[in-house]
Amino acid sequence: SLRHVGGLCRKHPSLIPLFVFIGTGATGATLYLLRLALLNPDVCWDRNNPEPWNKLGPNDQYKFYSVNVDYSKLKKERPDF
Amino acid sequence: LTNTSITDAQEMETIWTILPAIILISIALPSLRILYLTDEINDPSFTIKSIGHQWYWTYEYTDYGGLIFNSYMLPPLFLNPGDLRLLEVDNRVVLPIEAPVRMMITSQDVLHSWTIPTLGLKTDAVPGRLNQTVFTATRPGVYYGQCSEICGANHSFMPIVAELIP
Repeated sequence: SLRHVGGLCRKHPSLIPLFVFIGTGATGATLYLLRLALLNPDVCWDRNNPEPWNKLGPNDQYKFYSVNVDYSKLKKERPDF
Repeated sequence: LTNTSITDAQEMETIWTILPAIILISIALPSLRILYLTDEINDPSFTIKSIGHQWYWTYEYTDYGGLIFNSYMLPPLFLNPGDLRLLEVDNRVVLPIEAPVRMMITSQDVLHSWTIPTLGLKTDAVPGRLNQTVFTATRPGVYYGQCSEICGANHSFMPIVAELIP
């Protein structure tokens, strides 16, 4: 079917930007979903380790995009126990 | 209306694909940035814990000492004239205005939701999980809300009242 799409693009080149934008959008959405499934601290895949959230580091960034806060530079304000 | 001159307009079709896509992307990227900005914590002045139970709230002010109290709805027989039925409580959450307040919200038993619509707040109280919401009120007054996650027989009878004082 990719060949069919290539044939269509040759006949109607104005379809190329359409496939590019739709393809980028679909790929981006899938990749973000994969990122959420694998890296989100709320998601747990391992049956033998039911509390992975206890291993989160205080200086790690888990958000996709952080505008103002630089997580690697946060100071520690509370005492060790 | 035969189609001799209105077929095969490749240039126009390309333009009307690319131009709206560019416009939409230029709207979406700053909008996503704002979305992530609203999630940031702007150095709250203090922190209050709000714990949902069946069917009342517990508030803990533990920053400067240990103030912990329960907040039950006032039954209709106990209301004073001028009070709002099903909305008044015995102990209100008293907060200052113009100070960023961090609310840590959780639950002791089942799902609840801590809501004050006029302050734009709604955060679910999930047992075993600590949710956080930060807000800064600008006007003094009394703000009402109701539990927003079905939690049993008296789900409609566990309101939230915030008294914001200057």
